[in-house]
Amino acid sequence: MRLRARTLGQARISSPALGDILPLAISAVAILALLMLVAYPLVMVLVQAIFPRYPSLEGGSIAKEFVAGLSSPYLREGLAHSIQLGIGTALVAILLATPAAILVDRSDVPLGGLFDFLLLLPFVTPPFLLAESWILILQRHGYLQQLTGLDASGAQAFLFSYWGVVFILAMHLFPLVYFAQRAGLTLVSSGVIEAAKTSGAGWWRTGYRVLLPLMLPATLAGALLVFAAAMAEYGAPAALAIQAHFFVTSVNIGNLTSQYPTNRPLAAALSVLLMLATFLAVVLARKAIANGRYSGRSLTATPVALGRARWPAFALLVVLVLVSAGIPWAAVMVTSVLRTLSGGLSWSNISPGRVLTLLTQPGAVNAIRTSLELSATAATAVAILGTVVGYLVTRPTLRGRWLLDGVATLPIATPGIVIAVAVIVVWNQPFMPGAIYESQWVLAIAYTIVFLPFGVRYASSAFQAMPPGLDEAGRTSGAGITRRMYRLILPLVIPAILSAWALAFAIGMRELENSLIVRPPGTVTISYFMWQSFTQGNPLSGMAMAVLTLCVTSIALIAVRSLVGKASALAV
Amino acid sequence: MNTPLRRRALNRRSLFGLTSASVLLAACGGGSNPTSSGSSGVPAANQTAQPTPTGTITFYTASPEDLANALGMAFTALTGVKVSVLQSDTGSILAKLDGEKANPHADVVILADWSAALGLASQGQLLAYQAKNSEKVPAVYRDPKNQFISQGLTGLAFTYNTKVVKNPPTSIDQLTGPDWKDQLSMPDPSQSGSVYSFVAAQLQRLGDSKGWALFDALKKNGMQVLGTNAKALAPVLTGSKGAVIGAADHTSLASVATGESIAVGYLSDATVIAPRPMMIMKSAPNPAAAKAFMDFVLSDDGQKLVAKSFLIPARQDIPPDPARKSLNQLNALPVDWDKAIASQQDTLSRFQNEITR
Repeated sequence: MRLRARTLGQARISSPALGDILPLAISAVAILALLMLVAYPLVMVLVQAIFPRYPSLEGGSIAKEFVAGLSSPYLREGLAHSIQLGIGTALVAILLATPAAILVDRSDVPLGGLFDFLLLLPFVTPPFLLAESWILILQRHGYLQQLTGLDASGAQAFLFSYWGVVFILAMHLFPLVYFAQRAGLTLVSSGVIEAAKTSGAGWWRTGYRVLLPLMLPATLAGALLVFAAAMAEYGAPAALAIQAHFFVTSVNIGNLTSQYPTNRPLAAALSVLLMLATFLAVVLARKAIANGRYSGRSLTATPVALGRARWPAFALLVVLVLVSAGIPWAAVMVTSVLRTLSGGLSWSNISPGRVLTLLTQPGAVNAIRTSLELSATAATAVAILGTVVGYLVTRPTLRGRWLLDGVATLPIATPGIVIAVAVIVVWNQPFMPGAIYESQWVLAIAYTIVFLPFGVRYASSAFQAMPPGLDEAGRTSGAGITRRMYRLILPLVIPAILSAWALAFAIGMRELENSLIVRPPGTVTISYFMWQSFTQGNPLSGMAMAVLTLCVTSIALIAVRSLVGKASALAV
Repeated sequence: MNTPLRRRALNRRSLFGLTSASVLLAACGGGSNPTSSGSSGVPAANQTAQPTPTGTITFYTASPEDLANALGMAFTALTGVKVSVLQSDTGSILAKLDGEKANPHADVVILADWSAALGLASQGQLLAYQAKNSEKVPAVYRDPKNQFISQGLTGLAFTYNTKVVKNPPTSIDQLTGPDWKDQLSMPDPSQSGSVYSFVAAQLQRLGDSKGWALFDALKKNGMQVLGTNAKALAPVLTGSKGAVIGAADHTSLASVATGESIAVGYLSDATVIAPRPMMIMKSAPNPAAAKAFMDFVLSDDGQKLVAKSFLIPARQDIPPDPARKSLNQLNALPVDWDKAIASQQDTLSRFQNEITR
């Protein structure tokens, strides 16, 4: 509760520039929504760590569970592993994303724009499915061995190791860095690059001294998301942890929350520690970003001609798409048409009708409809709330903005299972309108909490990248805040907002932990359907559902992309 | 307000208190935990004056989804009471019950983990009710205080890939030999209470030192402990592993029914029965209908639906599915649950440190 009070106190809007009533009202509503939706459940996580018998307050101890978490060598090792995993994944993600973002944004690489769509695929893929798929490919007697006859022991050993977990998570999460960089790069003037070249800087020097520093804020913003998401991710590390002998905090939290005897206070304490790590990372990233400065946006972003390097560059992007999405999805698709898993890869074991039979099952169709409704609702809420909060946290005149930023970023560092329990605790209070908790819309609320960081990060990095003089110029020309917002600011950030919508929508189609635990009776989402198939010995049906989901999500994202294209055109 | 699921030390103490009390049939079941005294009273044997069930019940179940829905629909057809079914796994259901403490919804709960039911009972969260036909369920598969009773039983068995394994073993000792190098998986007892009963049964059969030596030998021979039941079965389906031990047989039999090349074997010294407990929450919003539902699950019709999912019906007068063996044919090891629960934390952490990792 103390945290909540401080937020209110510090977030006072002190800038006289925000003179108009409307924006003030919108900001106030957004801050309230942030407090209610995100801060309140997160504070409840802390409360549970302190008061083990909550809602009763007896036996409370501020330090006890934290000491328990930090004094157990096993849990301490988990925390160290989580941080290693977060850092490793973020670094690999930057290495994968940066060349791709530069090539697509700044060069004439063939089919450049198509990669924006293709590189979203790994992020649309549920990480547990990605892990399952790579296990099918690389394990002993797996698809690799069946196709090539090679002994897969080495491949299996790689997959079941620290680097295997980093590989899966980096492949899944690098699009976050890529899209943040793409959003940032559209605002980097090619004039700056030309100026560098005219001053005699070579390609390498231009990239190293000019382009990369200009990309830094977006890169860090994306890497921060990757760092936090990798630490909080449960599905993929859980799938690989035991064989990899690499236990992370999120898996420990999952076990503490769902294995009998459960120990929720300790799970909550571990979550708070994960959140602290992310909070520190946010603060560090803010410092680094504050040192970067963007130049103005260029209207004539001429792509760099790659010449003979054009096709090798293309091949590089294709390999990235294949490894991150093509190969695992091919394995999923092949598996979905197998008659039996034990039959292996052979023509006689093919039974192609499974995906279509799924469409005749009311349960499967319902799951898809529910997931579409929930994802679209949550993504819209995230886009709107994320834009307002993203704007507020980039206002240099707003005191306490770092706190807003932190609160809005924390859900990504919080394991889904902990958010799920917090959502139940908050929304199932007797004084809350019960109709929400008992309907599928409680999941939309949970999803909004989980996805909000994407909205805020994307919007804030777009606002950050805005030429600093622009707003000032609008103001001196006598335009009020509403008019400046509508005519100047929004058109520039709309691509980022729509990207955030698309991302939130895509994660909604695969969100697992809340779908499992918050889900009211009778509500079936896609991820639950898949998970249920896997756990009840029917993995082939789960794979078929994955294929169907990929189709549905892709169609939806293509629709949004064409909108983004139009919006970007408007913005120029 | 009920005591939330909590505190390992407290749990252990109260579990121990409850179970030793039940052994001695002493009236001091709640001695170590004040809140459990309320539920350890007289069994509600009063079956005649039940009000007619109406309204809706909320049913959280870790049973197979088809079974959960079939039970719900059949009960609605019989009584007009709507059944709101939430099918999930034991862990997610426990997490949900825990989160909903301030405003509970569940009436009837079925878990896959006997020790979780013992724990909920020790915390005084369960409503005692002696369901009709409960006397036809073997005494070891129901709570003497009628706080929970088996819906059905599953056998923890030996499932093998018939393409990889040509000569299935007859004893668990054979699995430590060179033929079985890197060929075996096992579900994690930390992730499933039913698998814990498998570990406990081995330790009780052999005694602690020989029992741990067996698991150690299995580990040295490359046995991998792999998460949930389905997770441990998956590499056997693909042939990456030859067999899984301690896996729930009804899941394997369902896979066999879809044409997978696997078979279920029952080793003479490594088959354990895992009962799946059914209970009514003390906080049930609709206890009258919840009791009627429990009666229905243990009725002839209810138990026949249970049999269809390849589980052994809890009532021994209802035959299991012809595709599977009956309780008597399994020749399963006994499990002393009181001893098992008393040493659960120590055994699990030792297993995690020495065998799983």
